[in-house]
Amino acid sequence: MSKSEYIIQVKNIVKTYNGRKVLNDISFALKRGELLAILGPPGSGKTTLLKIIAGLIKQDVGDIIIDGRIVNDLPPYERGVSLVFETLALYPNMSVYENIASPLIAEKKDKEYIDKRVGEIAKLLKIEHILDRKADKLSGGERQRVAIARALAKEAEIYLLDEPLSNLDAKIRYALRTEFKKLKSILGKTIILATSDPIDALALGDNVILLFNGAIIQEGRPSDVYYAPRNISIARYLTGNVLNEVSISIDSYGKSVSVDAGQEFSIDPYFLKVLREVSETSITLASYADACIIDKSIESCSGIKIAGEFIGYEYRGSEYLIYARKNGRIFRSLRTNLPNVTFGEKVDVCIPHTNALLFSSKTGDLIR
Amino acid sequence: MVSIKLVNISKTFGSVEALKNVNLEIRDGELFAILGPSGCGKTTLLRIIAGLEKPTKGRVYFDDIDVTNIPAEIRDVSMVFQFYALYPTTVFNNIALPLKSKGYSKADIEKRVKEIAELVGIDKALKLHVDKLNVADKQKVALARAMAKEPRVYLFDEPLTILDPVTRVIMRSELKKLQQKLKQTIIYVTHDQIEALTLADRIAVMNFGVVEQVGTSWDVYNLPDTTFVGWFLGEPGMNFIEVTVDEDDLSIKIGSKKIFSDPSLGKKLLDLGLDKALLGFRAENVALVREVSATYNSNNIAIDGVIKVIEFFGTHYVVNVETEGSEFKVKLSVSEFNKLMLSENDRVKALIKVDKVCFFNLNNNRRVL
Repeated sequence: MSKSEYIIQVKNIVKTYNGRKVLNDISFALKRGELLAILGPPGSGKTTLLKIIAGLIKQDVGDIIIDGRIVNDLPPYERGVSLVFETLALYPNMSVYENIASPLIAEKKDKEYIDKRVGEIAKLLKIEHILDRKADKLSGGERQRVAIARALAKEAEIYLLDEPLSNLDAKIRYALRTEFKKLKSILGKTIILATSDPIDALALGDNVILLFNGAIIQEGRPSDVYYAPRNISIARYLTGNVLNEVSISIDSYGKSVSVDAGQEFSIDPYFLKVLREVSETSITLASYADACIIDKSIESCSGIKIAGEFIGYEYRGSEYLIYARKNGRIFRSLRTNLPNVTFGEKVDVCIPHTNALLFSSKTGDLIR
Repeated sequence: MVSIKLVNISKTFGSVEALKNVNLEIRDGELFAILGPSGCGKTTLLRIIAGLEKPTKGRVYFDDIDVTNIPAEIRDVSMVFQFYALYPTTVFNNIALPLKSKGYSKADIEKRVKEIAELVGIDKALKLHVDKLNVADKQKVALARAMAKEPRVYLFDEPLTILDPVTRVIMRSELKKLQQKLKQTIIYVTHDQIEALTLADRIAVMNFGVVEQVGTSWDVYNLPDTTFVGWFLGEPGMNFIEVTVDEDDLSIKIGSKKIFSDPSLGKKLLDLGLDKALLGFRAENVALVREVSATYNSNNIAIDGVIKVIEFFGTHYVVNVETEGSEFKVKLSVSEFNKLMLSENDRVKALIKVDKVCFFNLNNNRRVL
């Protein structure tokens, strides 16, 4: 029998707790060596889903198929998966070496194999120098890496990682993300990673699944999800709730146009034509910070231009993030320099239509 | 109004050396940030300036007057903490209290409270109980109360950390405006590099109880004195690659592979007595090209490599390039990335602007060029 095209298939999984559906008809499939990021806010069902795949919780409905075989009735240790939880339950009195080796000892591997395997993994995660240290003497970042090393120590086909990067210092987090991605291609292993951080999902995933309230609301490659979020709530979530937004109302004759960001605005004629062709009368125009321009005065704007107030900036070394405000709306723009304005001064905010996202104000669904 | 000088400050707690021979000069009227990871000693340093902690060694001077043994109460400093501790009364009373203890008349207190409240933008809320305020306004009251003490120096310990991101940006602007008006010395401790880079006139970057560098935002970001400063600042931090200089043809090598560089660069390193160094550069100062035989000039250093990992960050891409066992990151805008259509395992040439390149001594990790 030839091997299945997919290393893992999740089919129509439903799980109900006390009458509440925590997972509602979840289906997806992963190819060997792929990294899938399951992105969703806390409580969206990510952990439950991973536990079902691992065999720690039984689904009410649906199938888990690993390498072409339905594993619904198989115990966790026969599924060929390894699950790492967010809570790092290392054995505090054991050394790093013993912690990493513990799943291998449980599998009764011989000492030579364990030595070799622990050495490899420790090298990969750059923790060779602390193999003799007791787990309770480690820093937060070291603990996380040891926990990851332990999860990867067991040779599994599929690794399930639950918030592996949470509670980490930003620098370590940044470095570990890259390590993870590299690891994936070195080991050629399949990884499913659950996270509530959009950056983790975008940067790490070959594919991303957005899980909101127990249901998949969008899936695709990170850039596809980012540039065509199906709903404005997804776009907001991906930016950490700092999406640039303006609501535009067009009367039913397509004649008068008003904007919730004040009276002082102008719309490029071509863009106005586009807006009028949309069958919605209330549209929310949204853009990410790199697609929005804020400056002292902007002569031509191929989208919508709004008069705002300069309220501040962040200097990040490589770039500036400029903040403007109008009628309670906050606009952010990434620039390489500071505009020549002082705090409180008037600035123009331009959202060019080419990079803007149009959503229905009523449903929040993406129009274009 | 005061300038502050710290001379050879050390502090040990039991066997832990929290501060190791710290020397700093904080100028009159500047907003001076102390930046570093948790545990670097920045809060201990602030407490020593405040007089809440005594240094194990070294002296603290306010305007050339030795205040090392002067207790906190009479040093005339005002501290604002991350967690405001307001009195459970009105905004007015909170601001008035320090003035009362200074013996101001009732009329003067009224006048002064109003002035200060206007300055920090809390004058509309003077009659409100502090429980009725949002987090940002509470922090404004804490700031106003600190001002009412009319201190010689303000000491801020991560005062904005609890605010939401947008409010934090607005409060930073307010603080900067206020400081430009008052021209008071402010020492601002934070672990948030964006906060320090955005707010400070000058920044001291600390690590393990040592001041690694003092400089403007531009300096510490673009010309880090040490590899720690280069690594710590920026997201991602600076790239570092070990290189050797060929004494015969002045070429620079990564491993056994020559990289393209102007011979004058190799000569500069040899003149410093270094045939080995750490090449440092920032991810955003690199351009990638596909052509193996791209033309380049003395404005660039060129390194051939293979793409190992590509990371999408929404507003940009970070591409990890491997060359001769070393790795570096390249930050590309989405449009640049899409133009190049890069994928993992592609061979690329990295062009690094030579005027954006630093070299560090491998022995002490200090910048030499």
